[in-house]
Amino acid sequence: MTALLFWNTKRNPVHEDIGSICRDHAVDILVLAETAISKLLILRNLNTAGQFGYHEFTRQSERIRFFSRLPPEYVTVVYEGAGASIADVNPPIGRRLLIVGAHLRSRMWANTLDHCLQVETLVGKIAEYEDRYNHKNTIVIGDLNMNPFEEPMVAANGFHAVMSRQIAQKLSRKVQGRQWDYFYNPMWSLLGDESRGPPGTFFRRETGAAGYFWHMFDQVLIRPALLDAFAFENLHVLTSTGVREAYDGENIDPSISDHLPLFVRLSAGGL
Amino acid sequence: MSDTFWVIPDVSTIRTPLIIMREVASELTRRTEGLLRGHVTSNRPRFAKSQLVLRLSIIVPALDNYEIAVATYSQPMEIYPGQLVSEILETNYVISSEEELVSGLKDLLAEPKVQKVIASLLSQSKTAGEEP
Repeated sequence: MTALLFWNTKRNPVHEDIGSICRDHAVDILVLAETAISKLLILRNLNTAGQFGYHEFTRQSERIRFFSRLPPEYVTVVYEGAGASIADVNPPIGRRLLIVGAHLRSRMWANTLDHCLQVETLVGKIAEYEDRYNHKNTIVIGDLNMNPFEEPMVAANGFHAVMSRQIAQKLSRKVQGRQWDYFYNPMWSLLGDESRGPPGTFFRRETGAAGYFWHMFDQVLIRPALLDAFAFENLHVLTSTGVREAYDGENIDPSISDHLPLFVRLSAGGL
Repeated sequence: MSDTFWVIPDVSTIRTPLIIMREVASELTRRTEGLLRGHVTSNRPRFAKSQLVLRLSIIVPALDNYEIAVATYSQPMEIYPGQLVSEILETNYVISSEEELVSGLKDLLAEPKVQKVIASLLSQSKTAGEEP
């Protein structure tokens, strides 16, 4: 069983919230973006109950930080760059995984073409490491600064992340003479009012003629090889940190973050 | 009347961004005696086929070939002006000439944040064999 938590913390001092969520949900791998909290303070809060022994295994990146309660020899960051970091997770029991923690460029500074280029680079890197480790047990988790329906998310040379498990299970499709691997994007099923949980993970008041208000910028993408380990009920946009409510049914509490945390658990049976 | 139609310019003195970035990469490998390996890749993204994207990264053999991206130059068909992006500093520069690319890379690599990364990787690399 592997439990992952991603949170863009907006550089807020939410160390107690991080510790609480990780303990309550028995998070194995924590991925943080926009976090200015010191390593010491985060670890003190993660390990406070003496229940778990987390450690940070980020190498150089300040954009993405990784923490884990798996022993250090089983988790290694192998790549940092292009708005993402790639970790090789090789537990003693179960499947070897590639965890891609991502924080892609903000919409304030990047247009669709910028995102296309950034995603294409990242997907190329992912393919390189999948070849190196000879598996496709890959999960992308992070603040992608895009909604699931945007072009770089769905394009064959982008993430190629589809809304249907059935389509993803076909593994890949041929476009313009080349085979492109799928990701499954379960975040589609969490969009809007009739979904389980809040309408998105990020809210922005819109002043322009058109606006979505709620955005699903924080996403998890799963390669088909891991779909047997993924059940939709194990995916949650968290609205409470255990210390306080992050979402009151209308707004995200800005003193906590402007993003809600994203939690996913892969089942033991599948892994 | 001349019997040639084409005026072929002399390009023997032009150093393309790929050559410059390869020189930068080689220098790192040479000066660290291979502890840090400069690495350049180039590709033409399908989303923007008129651009050549050149990426400079550092590979650390002693850390299981850990790789960190340092800089990316997006080169248009005319070579300049292009965009130099620093992955570590998270900043962009518009580059208008060969001289600007050389000085831009020099400035970028001398930045304290980049120096800190290089120092960290180099020291870890030197001690990697000593750790139990």
